[in-house]
Amino acid sequence: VILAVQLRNLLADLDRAGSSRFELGEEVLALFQKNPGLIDCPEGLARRIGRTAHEIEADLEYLLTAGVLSARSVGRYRLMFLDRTKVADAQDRSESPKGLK
Amino acid sequence: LALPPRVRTGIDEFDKMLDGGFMRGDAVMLAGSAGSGKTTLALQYLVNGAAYGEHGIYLSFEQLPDQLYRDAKNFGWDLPKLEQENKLKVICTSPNLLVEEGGAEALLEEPRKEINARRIVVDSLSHLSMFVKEEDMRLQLYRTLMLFKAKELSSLLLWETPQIAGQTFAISDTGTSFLVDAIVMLKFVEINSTIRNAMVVMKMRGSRHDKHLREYQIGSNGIKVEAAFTDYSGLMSGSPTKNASEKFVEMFKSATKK
Repeated sequence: VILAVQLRNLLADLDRAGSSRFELGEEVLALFQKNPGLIDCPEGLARRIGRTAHEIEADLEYLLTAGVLSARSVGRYRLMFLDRTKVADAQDRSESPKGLK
Repeated sequence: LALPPRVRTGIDEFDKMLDGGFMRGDAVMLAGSAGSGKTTLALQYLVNGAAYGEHGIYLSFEQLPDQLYRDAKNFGWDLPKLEQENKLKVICTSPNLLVEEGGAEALLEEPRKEINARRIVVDSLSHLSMFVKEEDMRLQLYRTLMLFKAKELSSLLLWETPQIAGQTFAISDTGTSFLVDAIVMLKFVEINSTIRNAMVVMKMRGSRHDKHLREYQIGSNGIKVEAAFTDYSGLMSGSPTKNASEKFVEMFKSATKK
């Protein structure tokens, strides 16, 4: 529940910031929000929401840059997963007067 | 403190079939067709393990964690709570990542250390086989099972058999059944036009085990193993027949009623 609130606040913050990636990233973020134990490559993540890796490539990069997701290389693949610590940090920042903007 | 040599599933009658439980560190294949209760039994193995202080990892290739949480809740098992208490980790990934060089370590080592895991469920080997070339499957699986053993993880490996009815004993085409230490089969049998669940321990390396086909029910608390199907033969074919003595008893009862 805490994680869900943190992510919702983060999304709201991104929306307020006028991010063009807000709607697209939300779909991927919702997947991680419901399944925090998900750790997968872009192809695997895309498959789980009925998309292709190409379709969500930019969203994943955006969420990596925003600090919501973390990545780790394994052989030929890049694993992506929800970084709960970073989400908590982002939440703290969004609650501060300056926020993420 | 040394752990007991047997890994109890917590399903009393099943543990009796296994002479006390699985052998510690063993790789156990749990085979059965869709709907036979493999996932339920696997979750029960981990939930009961958590109660015994043997924490576990559920590695899912297909089902997303939120589906597992929902299904487990129907049996009264609160998986998110167990995760919060560091007694369980549900990991969802693509099967090809597990067999990638360094993949198993990258996926499992951190959570294993975090909760001091002793058990692992892999759901499923059949899904893994879809992503690995047939000629590589045996080697990749061997490597993965050896890693589990090296990390002192007692593994339960789910394998989906193709047929729902009839003979379901083509357990695996890739020789994976030779690599595991034990095989438990769940199957449907038709008796008097009713589908019933049967369970059998087909192989258990280095241990005595019950050879009977036993009936089991999937109830509100999970799997419950019941009596052996002693009155029937041909259960493995999926279409059993009553034993002659039973037929005679029925005929006798019917005659005395008249």
